[in-house]
Amino acid sequence: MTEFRLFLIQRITSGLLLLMGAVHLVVLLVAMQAPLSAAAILARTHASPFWPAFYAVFAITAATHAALGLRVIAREWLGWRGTAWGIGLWTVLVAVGLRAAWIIA
Amino acid sequence: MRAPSLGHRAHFAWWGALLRRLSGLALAVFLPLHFLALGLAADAAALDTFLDWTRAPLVRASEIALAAALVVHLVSGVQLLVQELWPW
Repeated sequence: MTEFRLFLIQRITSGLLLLMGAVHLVVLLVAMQAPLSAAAILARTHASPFWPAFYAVFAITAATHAALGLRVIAREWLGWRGTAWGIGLWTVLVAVGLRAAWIIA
Repeated sequence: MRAPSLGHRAHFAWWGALLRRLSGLALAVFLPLHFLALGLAADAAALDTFLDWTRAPLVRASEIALAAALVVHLVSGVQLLVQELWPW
């Protein structure tokens, strides 16, 4: 993928993270009204299929933004130019994120 | 007189870029740990044990540091987006 496309994806995911992060923050503030527990967390996420779907998209977006950001740092600070490790990192982050969304569904 | 090699550090944007990278690095390390922690929900008792652990003062302190990193990353990220996209 061209550098410009990766740059665009990084900017688009940042905008999406702003919106979804705001929703996540509200959920967090509501959740913190009571002590956190597995039962309370699962009761919330089981309430509607919207939440697992929302968190699956949120996880993919955050994983993509993080992988692209780490790629920039690795290129600038370590001089890493390869693409395989970046794709590998993105795959692992997305997989771990989707696994979590699946478990709370 | 400032040493020429340090000139770039006099720029506000350079510090913004450095802070964005450092805070982003911290958040990127946290992200998979956060996913793995939530994955413990497969076994409610395991997640509750983990949630008890998060009440330790050192974990609380690192959560505050993480929230600070998020604020820094957010503010410098929005600043960058406005700089790039706003029709000046």
